[in-house]
Amino acid sequence: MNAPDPGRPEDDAAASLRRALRATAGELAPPPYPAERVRRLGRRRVRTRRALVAVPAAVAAVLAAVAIALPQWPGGEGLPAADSAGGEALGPRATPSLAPAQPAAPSARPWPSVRTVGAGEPVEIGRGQVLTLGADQVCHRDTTEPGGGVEDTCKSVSDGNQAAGSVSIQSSGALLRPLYIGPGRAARMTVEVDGEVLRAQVLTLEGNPGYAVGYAWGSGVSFDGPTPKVRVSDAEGKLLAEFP
Amino acid sequence: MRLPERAAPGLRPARTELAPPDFETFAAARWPRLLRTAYLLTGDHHEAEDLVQVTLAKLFPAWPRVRGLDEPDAYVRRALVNNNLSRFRKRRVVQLLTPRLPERAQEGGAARTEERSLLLEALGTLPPRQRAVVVLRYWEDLSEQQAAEVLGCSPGNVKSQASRGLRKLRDHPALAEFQPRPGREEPADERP
Repeated sequence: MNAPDPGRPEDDAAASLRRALRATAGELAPPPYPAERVRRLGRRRVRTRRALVAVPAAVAAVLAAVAIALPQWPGGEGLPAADSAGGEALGPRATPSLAPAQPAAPSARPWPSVRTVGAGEPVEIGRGQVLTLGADQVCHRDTTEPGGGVEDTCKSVSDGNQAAGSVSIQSSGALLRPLYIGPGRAARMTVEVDGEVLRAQVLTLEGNPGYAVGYAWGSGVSFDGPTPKVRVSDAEGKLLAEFP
Repeated sequence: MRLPERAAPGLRPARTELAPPDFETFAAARWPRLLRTAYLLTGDHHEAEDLVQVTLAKLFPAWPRVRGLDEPDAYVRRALVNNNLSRFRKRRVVQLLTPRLPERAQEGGAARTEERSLLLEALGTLPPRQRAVVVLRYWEDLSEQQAAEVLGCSPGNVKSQASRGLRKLRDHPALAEFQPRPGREEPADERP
């Protein structure tokens, strides 16, 4: 690395950037190292990789045996092609959404009731997505990924990096997930994207865990566009938090 | 995670006789630092946690081999950066909008929070590899050679990416507060 030359614009900019990066990274309060979770993920990866290696070999062997044993189908094909129009092809099956995206007409429809789930209980929310709520974190798994969704991605809800009384929103594909942290009892969540207001299904734990998550399905939101608006209210309609 | 067939510089087998740490000790010690690097790479603390957890989970089964390397840190840093870049390649980037980090009691108030948020926005304008170069050069303080080894490119490429990144960021309001001023002392390195 070249020695810095204070006074040179590039070196001044580099020095400024170093200070800014230190200040910004230093702001983050690291939660405790999640040793058990990392070990679990690591072991699961090993198992999945072994399975991924083993399954194709087994399938190939079975297919070869079947192809030999079965009489030829008319047209010369050993096996009929999957009927893609019938929806029961070999690919992943689309699962109906529990909180489908609907055009905005919020006042005409009843609010989805809050769903209370057990800590650590995987909750299928449709389209191969699974949420798991815990005392300190919320985990998400996409089972449509290769290997059936090997890795949960978990968000701490207790590390202090999201202020109490606030809501954030996360999107992965069409899935929109608001996360409210605070003392209020969240019962209604809406996400407004490009003028469309989506009502999210609210999930929470028994008691008062200090947070609630929601989920709704949009149409592949990109946050590069207009900033989505999120509102969280309690059962009486009192606003608890909003974003931005 | 597969070790390269030919170990890159920094990934050579260890020459020391010291017993390398076990995985838990290593990972717990590196966790805060990796998390902060990931925070600058992703711009989001949740995403940073995910990225580091996944990186360490991939490292876990490979640790018996990695611990024998001369610089396990270089290997892990490389894995972290590559895992982050692969998120973009696979278009599996999870986007998140979050309220600004809450002000810590010991920090300098809303103005500083605003500056940090601005910096993340500024970093977000850089292409992923350029952002990685900026983070490796100016946060990790790696040399061009070291950053090139992490990214698997030439030092010249790192140099040009860093220069372009710096040019984009230098006039950004995010850096205004951090401009050197006459009489201002360079703070000691307090990086965690």
